[in-house]
Amino acid sequence: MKSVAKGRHCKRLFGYLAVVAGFWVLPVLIFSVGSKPPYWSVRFFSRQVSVVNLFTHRVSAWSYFQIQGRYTGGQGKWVDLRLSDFSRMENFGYLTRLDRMLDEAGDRRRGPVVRRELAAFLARETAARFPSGPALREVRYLRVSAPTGEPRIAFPAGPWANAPVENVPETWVRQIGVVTDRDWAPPPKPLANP
Amino acid sequence: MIGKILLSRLGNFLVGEAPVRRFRLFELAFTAAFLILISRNLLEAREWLTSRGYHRSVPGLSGIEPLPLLPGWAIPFFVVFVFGAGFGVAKWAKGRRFCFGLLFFAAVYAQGVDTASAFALNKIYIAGFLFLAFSPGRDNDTASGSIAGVRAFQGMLLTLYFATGIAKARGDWLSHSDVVWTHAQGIYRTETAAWLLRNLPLWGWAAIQHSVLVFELGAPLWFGWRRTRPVAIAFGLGFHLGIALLMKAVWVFSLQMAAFYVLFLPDDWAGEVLRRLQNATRALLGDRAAGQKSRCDSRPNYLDRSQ
Repeated sequence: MKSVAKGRHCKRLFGYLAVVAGFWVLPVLIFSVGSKPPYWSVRFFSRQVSVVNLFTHRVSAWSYFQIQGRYTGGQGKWVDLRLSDFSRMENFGYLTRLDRMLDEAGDRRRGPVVRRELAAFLARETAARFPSGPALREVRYLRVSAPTGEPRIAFPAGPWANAPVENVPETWVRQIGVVTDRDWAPPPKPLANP
Repeated sequence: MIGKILLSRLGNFLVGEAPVRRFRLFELAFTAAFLILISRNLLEAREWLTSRGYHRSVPGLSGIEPLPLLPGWAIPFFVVFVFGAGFGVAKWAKGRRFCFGLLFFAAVYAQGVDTASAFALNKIYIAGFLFLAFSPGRDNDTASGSIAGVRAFQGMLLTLYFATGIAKARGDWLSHSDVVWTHAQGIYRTETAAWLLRNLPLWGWAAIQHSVLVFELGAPLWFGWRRTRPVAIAFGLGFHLGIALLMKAVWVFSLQMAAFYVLFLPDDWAGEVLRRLQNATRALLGDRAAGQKSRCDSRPNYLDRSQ
């Protein structure tokens, strides 16, 4: 290796390395060891360099959303809706970006909004694809938690696939919410003055 | 006296002049990996970038408002923007930094427009293209220059490994031996993972887990020491190949990480790969000079900043 560059060029090179160290090396190291961002960081920056806290803990159960719908004239029967029929972006393992949005909307503020918006989207898509078919009237969100180590999960016959609700023990299933078409339909127009 | 010598050596190690064809190869590999990620997403461009797909009105976990969606007619312009910048990185030596700047904005948009389809690798692309846009040392397609860029990105990778190792050690990776086993069972489980779950005993999963932890925590040493470097490269590439095979949709991350590995190759190897790439490109474009050796390989134009 030849000798170190001198003068302003040398300062520029060290400056560059200092910037990489300051904006990547140190923050990534700090966020990997500390749970709280240090005082000098802003929230956005701390999230932007938070890339190392993945797969750090063992998983006791794998959870996924099972979505069911009720249709006009369906005699009140819940029918499974597969989100992969409405989203082809399967970039969350074998789940779609819609699953991921539901997964991230676990809190009280975002959860109801995302579930209502998604139900409206599913109804709109269903109507667009099957204009003469029954309309989607209600959407039910179920959360299925499959414990790891359980034989059908730990010794699977093939790749991951969401097991239908009727094929899993009831103790695995929890209802998160139900959204009806009243929740997503636009409010009725006010009557015109006579 | 000894301190001065040590400082001088450290300075040489960090910013000294050296053959840096591997850095050029890294630029190409990193850009190619990004374009592959974008291409995968573009297969469902209307869902990803337009209101044709569902996009929540509330921010995701980041708490940041999503960037505006594109109208359907703008998708071809987005494609031209991203792939034009990628082409510029490959063919326009003097405008390379400018093209990295464009790719930085593309990476920011790809993350901001739909956080549900963005992952940690998007963040690494944003940082990577930003640092590439400002990388010093070479103004044209030369074989030699300051090693600073190589060191910066080597440091970026080793930081990732080491910090990930720390995070895992602080998690369950030291206290439980079945962490990888429980992850293999979940939503990322591929056919290969299912086969392994049926056939690999628990101690095998524990061995994978502990070897990965040793690799990540010791990465600065394994990659830094010349004697262990070949083993580290082989193990690391095997590790990322394993991730790609066992976890659905995570191969794009493996590809991104593999791009960093060219920074640890001997520079002659990188030069040879570059030469073959250039020849293949010329042959593909029907250039008669396909068989000629590249300027990069045969007549290195060493930067001499003293003149």
